[in-house]
Amino acid sequence: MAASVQLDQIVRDALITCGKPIHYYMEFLHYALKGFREMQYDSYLNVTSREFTVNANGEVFLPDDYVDYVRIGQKNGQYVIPMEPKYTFNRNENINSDGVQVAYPDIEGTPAAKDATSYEAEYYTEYVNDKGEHEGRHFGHKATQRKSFRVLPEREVILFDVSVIDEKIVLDYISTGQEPSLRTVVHPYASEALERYILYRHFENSKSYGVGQVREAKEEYTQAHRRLRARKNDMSIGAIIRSLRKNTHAGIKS
Amino acid sequence: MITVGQITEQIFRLHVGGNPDADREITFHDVRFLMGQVVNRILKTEHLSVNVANGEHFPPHVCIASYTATVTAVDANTASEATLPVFPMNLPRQMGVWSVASTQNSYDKYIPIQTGQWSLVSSNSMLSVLEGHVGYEVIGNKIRFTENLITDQITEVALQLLVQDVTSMTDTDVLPVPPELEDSIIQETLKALAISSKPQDVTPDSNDQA
Repeated sequence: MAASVQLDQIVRDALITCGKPIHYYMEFLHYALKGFREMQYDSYLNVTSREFTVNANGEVFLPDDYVDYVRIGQKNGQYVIPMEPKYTFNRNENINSDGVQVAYPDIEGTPAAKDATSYEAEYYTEYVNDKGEHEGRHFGHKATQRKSFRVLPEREVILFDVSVIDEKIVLDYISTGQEPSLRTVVHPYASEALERYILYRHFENSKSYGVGQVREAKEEYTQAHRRLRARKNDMSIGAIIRSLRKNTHAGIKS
Repeated sequence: MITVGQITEQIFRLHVGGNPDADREITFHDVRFLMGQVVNRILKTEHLSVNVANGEHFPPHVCIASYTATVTAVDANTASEATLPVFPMNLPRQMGVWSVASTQNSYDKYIPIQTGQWSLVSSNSMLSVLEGHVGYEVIGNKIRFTENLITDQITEVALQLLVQDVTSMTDTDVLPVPPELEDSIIQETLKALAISSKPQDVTPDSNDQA
């Protein structure tokens, strides 16, 4: 089991640090949960990956702990083929005459013209010769990705292109890291920053501390948060070299 | 160390200036009762003026008295409550109720919630879980728990209250206060006795009592 710290322990540590009894637990826990949520957004403490099957309406319901997506793609063995967001999707549900939500019709897959059965077929019929060579003069054409998605927070769904209905997709997302039924677990790197955050917020909202003490506590929290971000940053000399090499290709010899 | 009976008698004798007469208006019991009230006032003052004033929130051990209380289920078995055996000192954040824990594990303390705060907290799905702990509010003489402890086979809770209930002690019990406070208790009790009005003695005899 990977090393982790329970949020409960961090709250108790903060109580011990400033010599407060358990009667301050509730206040400190409130700050701890808020601080943890905020740090998740900035420092990506908890990226979660889950697999879903796109339903008959071309949608996947957002998980309860979803904050924002990191990557959405189609499952392909042990790999994930990334999908692109498409902003031309209609945000509304497609309701039929019976008032039932149904999938949008497959516009791209059923061209009205020619004898082709799909746009892919039409493309190869019209612009590619029998040797598989492109005939050219296909002006204005630009590459787009059909398999795409759009996150609709107002409906709490991710809408997918109809071509991926019933297919498996993988959602990597930033989680709140908080499940009401469980004890919250925190990465060990974050424990100091969280404790500092609790103390800063307590100082800020207590009449027992002066402006100078609040400012100092805020500064200590900021420093601890910076240390957390530095620890989480996995940039190394090796990573920089790999990054340079990734975009270096062998040229065609003349 | 001084017993409850010894200090009460000492105060009583100082008040009457010798052996008390049998027909005095103020009795040994009255002095004992008054002394108990003075003890709690002095302990609270000591805690607030010495400990809290220096940033220490943990009370001196002499302030703490231990009790047990029976748990009963309430609200259609969704919560539970216990009755305070005595009223503790009134301190910020209800620290008068210093700790509440199961008698089966007295180190696993329940989480105090300020009175009225639970209605705010209960709608917060994360906060209301209290990281797996049980919380409690103190309402009047009741301790109300956020869960039904009976379902976890907890029928009794151990209480630590900041109070010294002299009325529940016998005369031979040691008065649980530090020796340096004994003099203050005597002086403060005598001061309280001195201001009690004395009825006029209209009988011409050697007894100066009315």
